[in-house]
Amino acid sequence: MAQMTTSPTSSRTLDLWHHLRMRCGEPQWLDVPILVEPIREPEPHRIILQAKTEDGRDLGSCIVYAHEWYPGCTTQNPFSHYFPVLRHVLDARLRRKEHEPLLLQVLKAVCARTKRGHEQIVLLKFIVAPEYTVTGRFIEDLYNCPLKVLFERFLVLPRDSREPAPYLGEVRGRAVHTGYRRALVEYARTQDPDRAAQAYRAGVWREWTRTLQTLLATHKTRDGGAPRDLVESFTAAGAILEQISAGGVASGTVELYLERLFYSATRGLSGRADRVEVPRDPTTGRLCIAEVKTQSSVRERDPLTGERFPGGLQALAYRELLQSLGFREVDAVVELVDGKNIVTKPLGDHPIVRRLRLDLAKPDERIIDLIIQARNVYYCVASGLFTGYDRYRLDNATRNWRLPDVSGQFDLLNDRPPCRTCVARQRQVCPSSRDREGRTLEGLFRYAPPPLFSYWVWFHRQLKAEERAERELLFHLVHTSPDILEREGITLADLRLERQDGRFATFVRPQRRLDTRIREDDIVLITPQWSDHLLGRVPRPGELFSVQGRVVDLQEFALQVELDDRVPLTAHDQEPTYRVDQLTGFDMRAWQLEGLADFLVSAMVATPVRGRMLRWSELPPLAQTILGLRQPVSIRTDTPLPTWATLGLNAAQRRALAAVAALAPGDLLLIQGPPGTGKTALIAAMVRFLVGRALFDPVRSPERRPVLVLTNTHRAANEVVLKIAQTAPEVLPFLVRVGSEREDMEEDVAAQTLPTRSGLPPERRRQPPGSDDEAIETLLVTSERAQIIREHAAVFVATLGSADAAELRGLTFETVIVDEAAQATEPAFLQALRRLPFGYRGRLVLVGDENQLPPVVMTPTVLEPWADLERLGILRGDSLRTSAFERLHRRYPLACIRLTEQYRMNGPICELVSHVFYEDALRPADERVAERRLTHWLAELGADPPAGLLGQSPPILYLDTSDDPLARDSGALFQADDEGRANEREAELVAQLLAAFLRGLPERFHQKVIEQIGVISPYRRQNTLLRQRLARAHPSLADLRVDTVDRFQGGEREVIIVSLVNSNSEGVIGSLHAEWRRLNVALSRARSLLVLIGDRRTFTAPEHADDETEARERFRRVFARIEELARRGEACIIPTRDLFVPGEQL
Amino acid sequence: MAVRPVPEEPPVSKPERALNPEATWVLLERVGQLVEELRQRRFVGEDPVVEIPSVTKRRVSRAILIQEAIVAALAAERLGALLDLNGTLVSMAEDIAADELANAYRALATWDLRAAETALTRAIRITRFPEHQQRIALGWALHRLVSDLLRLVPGESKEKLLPAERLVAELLPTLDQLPDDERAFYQAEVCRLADAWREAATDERWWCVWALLRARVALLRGEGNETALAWLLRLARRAGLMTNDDSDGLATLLRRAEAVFQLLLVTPEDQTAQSELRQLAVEASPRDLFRALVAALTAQWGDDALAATQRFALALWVPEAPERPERTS
Repeated sequence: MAQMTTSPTSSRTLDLWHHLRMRCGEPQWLDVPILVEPIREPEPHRIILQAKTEDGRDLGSCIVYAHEWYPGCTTQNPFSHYFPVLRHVLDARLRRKEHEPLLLQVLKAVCARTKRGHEQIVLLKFIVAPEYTVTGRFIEDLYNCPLKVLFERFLVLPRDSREPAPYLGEVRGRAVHTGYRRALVEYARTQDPDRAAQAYRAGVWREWTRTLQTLLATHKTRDGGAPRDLVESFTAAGAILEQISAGGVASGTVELYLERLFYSATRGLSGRADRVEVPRDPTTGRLCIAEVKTQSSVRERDPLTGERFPGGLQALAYRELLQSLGFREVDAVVELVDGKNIVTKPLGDHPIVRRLRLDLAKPDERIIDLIIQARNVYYCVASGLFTGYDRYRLDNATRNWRLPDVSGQFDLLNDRPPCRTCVARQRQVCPSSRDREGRTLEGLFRYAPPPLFSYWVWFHRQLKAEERAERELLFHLVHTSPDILEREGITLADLRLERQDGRFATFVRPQRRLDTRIREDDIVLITPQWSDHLLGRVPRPGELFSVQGRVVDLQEFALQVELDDRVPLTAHDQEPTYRVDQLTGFDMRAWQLEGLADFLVSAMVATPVRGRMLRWSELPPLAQTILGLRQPVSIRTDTPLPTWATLGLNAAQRRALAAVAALAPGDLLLIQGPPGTGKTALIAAMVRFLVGRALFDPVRSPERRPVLVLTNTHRAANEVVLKIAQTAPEVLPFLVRVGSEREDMEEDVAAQTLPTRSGLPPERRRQPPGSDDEAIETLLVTSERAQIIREHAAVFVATLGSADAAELRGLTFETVIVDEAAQATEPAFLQALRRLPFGYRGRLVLVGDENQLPPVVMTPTVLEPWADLERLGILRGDSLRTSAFERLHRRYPLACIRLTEQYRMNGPICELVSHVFYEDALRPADERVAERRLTHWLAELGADPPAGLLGQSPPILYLDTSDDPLARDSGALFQADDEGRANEREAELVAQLLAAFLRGLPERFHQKVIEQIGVISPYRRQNTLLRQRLARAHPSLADLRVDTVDRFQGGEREVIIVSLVNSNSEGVIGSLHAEWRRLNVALSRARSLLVLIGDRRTFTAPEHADDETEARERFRRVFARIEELARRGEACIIPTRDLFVPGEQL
Repeated sequence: MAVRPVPEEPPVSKPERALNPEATWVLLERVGQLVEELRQRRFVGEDPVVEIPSVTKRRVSRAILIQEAIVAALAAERLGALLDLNGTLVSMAEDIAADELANAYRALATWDLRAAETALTRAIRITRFPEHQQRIALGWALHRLVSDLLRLVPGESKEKLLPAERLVAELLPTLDQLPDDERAFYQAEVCRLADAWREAATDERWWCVWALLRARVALLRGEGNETALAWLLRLARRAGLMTNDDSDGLATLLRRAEAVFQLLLVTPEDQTAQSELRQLAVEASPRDLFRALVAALTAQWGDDALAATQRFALALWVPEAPERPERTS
């Protein structure tokens, strides 16, 4: 019989459980993870659970009683949170139909004897779901006001972006932090106070100039001086340098870890202390965490001395966190930079420690109670387990800021909630707010009209599910072996550091290819893989020694990362290796949740009645339209337009512009723009027209501006600016591109950003002035300029993610145009509404194409829509991947204008795309486009078409690998959407085809030619393979653009080669191909020549799942139409079986 | 003499009808199940309407149908959910909500904030009528106003206005389901109360009336003897009633009240004085002092002092009775 192996953690759990039974009646400290399932429904005073070890070994039943009671115990703790939190979590899981066991980190338990003489294991203290990571800052928030967490972390309510809110204090805080950090690093490196002072100034300067808030909110004081926050951030240098020179950094006895992530899987906590000082010699000192505070409205108060100080609970939590990792001796200090002074408070003297009379030298359960209470309650509230989406429960919860249902000792700290910093107070939705004034929104949840509430719930649930996956990621990284993680594609292990050059480090793994889902721009953690002397073991990701960074370049065997700090170099006795773990891409969830909450609140606030459930027909008209309940007014395309407004537009574009001109406030217009139909040109024309019209109608409030263009990506925003520069240069003086310059920004675009326009280009921002006075003066002058430019700006171009940017704060727009609307998730699109005037009395134009790629969603959750949602047009199968554009187009087909004349694809390629995806409605704009061939392009370059397949091909070339035995794909490598498939044969074919093409052309044309060729495949692994094969086949091909379909959207090339990859006897096409819109994008990028390589048999096989049906059908139509075009001589189909014999050239 | 009718058959003795606990629990369990099911649907974001199971396509007895209808009705009432009755939506607990609402307003009129809060919380849980919902919203605002009126000492508060004054004033125009008369009434009422509070800041006599009210509320709420005594002592001092003339016993009552606070501040070293003071403190009675002060103030002002506190009481709107329709012969 096979023996079941037990993990070391489970063995420890079994031992301790046994030990517990041996010492009946004595509560014991365990600190072990167990899995539990309720045996029956939780009762009012006890919960009976079935317990197992992490690997499934039975531990028998156990009980949790209310108030930390157990049979035989004579005392109770009426404020204990453990029981109520667990009850809420279990209840919620039952209601959500989540039946997998719940993980508990049991800290304290007892084996109790009942009156009848039975033995019972009673759990007393535990961490609920430690896999959910809570940060130190959040638990401080919760401790100060649990209700604030419900509003800010569950509902994710944003500030009203229509109201100007200068936060100079906030910028000051960041500036001081950055300066302090830089000064520390410099001092540690050089021990030179002057250089440290310069580094401080550089840090402060960078932060002030990086943030546009500064430029727009900095005003001279009444007496003509600089604002206090600005001055103090510079003058704090003296105190900070004094502090540094008196600390361990000066003596060289400590090693510094700055802004490092530290995470404890057993506590469910993570943190990022400003500084951790680790003694170089562990026998001479203790590890010390320093938390720097620059401003804090919430401060602990010492009841005896009256002294107030912030950051106590956070420092306590970080200390506990590091101790749980295995660092025995940990000190903590909180440093408060108050004006010009810096006050250092060791944790032992902190008011929270003095008030509670905690003895930090000894283990004290009250410390962990305090921290875990905040952590557990935060988890319960922020993840929605406390209230769910029960609108009545949500409303009831807001009636008492201490959330008495989860108990807890929140009453010790404050007698009132800290409302001053709370957004729920600003939005006037908190019934518990102590200084609520004026008109308030009673019953935010209870009185929301059912369709609006259901709409909010539908998207909120999906975004929250994504958030949960992200919060559990660190636990997954720590608890899963690197081999498995590597198979999942999120980890690369056994990397060696090849070089570290300033902020950049290159890691290599020469013996094994870097097959991974990690890609450029991903945020990663780099963790050394040798045993640390303090920890006594190999650190895991996030355990203080990991350095965070951003992937800059990913090659076959090498990876380059831009680091936040230097990676540790010294390995004592082993070869130094590192692992790299993917943390996340760019976090878009927070602002999407904000947009969603803002829609819920703003739509209700705009309704002039209060105190009762609203009817949806009382909401602002545009809100009703967005919900899908009110047909937009019918399109009018007969509006007369001035000649200057229609220059260069085709008929369809003119109709669209006329419809825009006819829109009234509160109207919605959809414009569908298939590939190459001139969407950006139309947007530029709309901007020109709307600005021109505004010039004739100058009566408006200074906060109201004519037009805002929002796009889904920075790339698209830049394209809009470039197109305006090209077709409507007269608008440029009034145009602001929101945000700072980015590396990928064209010069013309960068020139439109506010910092550059006001005299702070990147090179100037990098070089701080020589003195504090000069820096302050420069900032004041620049701010004044920035404010004048903003005052006169009429057009703003931004991404949806930056719709709440400083440049836009306080402004509203008469017309908001959303480009790439079909690529934005519905909550992301709601950002556009935040910029419309109060009551959504503005015009909204959505430009997009739902037949191209849908929104990118990391972990889509599929929910079953309920009755209210069906009324809104949300159907079965819809998810976050269904854009607002798609839903609204489905709902209001008559509110959409389709652009049908395209300027990109020649006749045959256009016919293929139009037939398969646009009901044959798409056509080339003119004969020149329709007749364009490869020969025309080469002739423009001055080259003759080379011999060979590509050079002599008709507009469409299909290389059919159906009968090619070498062309089978590699199978799935990862268990994710991107299965990591690759096809060596297809890669080789592409490489040889292009190499032969290039060889047929004189070398002087190579550079220009490869700029106009693109290779597309849906799989990143195949793209890596393609790059390698191309570089090997011809040196010039190393620079060829090879990318996924998703990254190619919006781009175009003369020649496009599409490698379909999937080729297998099972006919598996994978989830990437099941999204048929990907095929549309891939095929519609080519101007002159489209090359398709793939296995027709695989793609036309019978479907495996329902969601493949449409994709298979479109593939069938693609191949059928290619055959038809081939019959007409406009396409060519070549089987690849005999096309290439390895070792020979084509 | 009338002859008593004699029944032809002897009366059948009916068995006494008794409560059936088992059947009760069976029914309540079914209600509980339905409530739980509805709560579950609410938890994931729906707001379901309770439906009475349909008879079509089912062969069920009338008794079962009635039972199902009862279960549905009870569940709807308990959750404050709407019930689908033959295609019409009805709210099952509106009468209870109306009662609670009336209780809440009555409690506000007698400064009983806790009772008002409880009644408003109960009412909001079950009501679905827009006018009831808006009266509750107004009730919360008035609750805040009365709370401010009692919490902020006239003339000693930083605020020159009652904070809730603005709250009510801005809320009233948004309550579209309430009759104009009712809104106008409460608008005027809020102004009246706020003016009375402001006047108490400048007028000695009205300040004393307010303090008398404050002491009265302290007694009603059971805020503790010291609180009531403190307000009464302040009132006596302000009204010039701290006298040595003990003809009506007031001076003794005041001395006793003072003893309570003297003991808190300093304990006399002299044992005799200490025991005397203790004796006085033990005998201190806020209720006696309250009554005595009311009598003294009434005598001083020539008006009923207790009745004067009604100036700070919220008056409730009463709709005028409709004119009696003419009786037709």
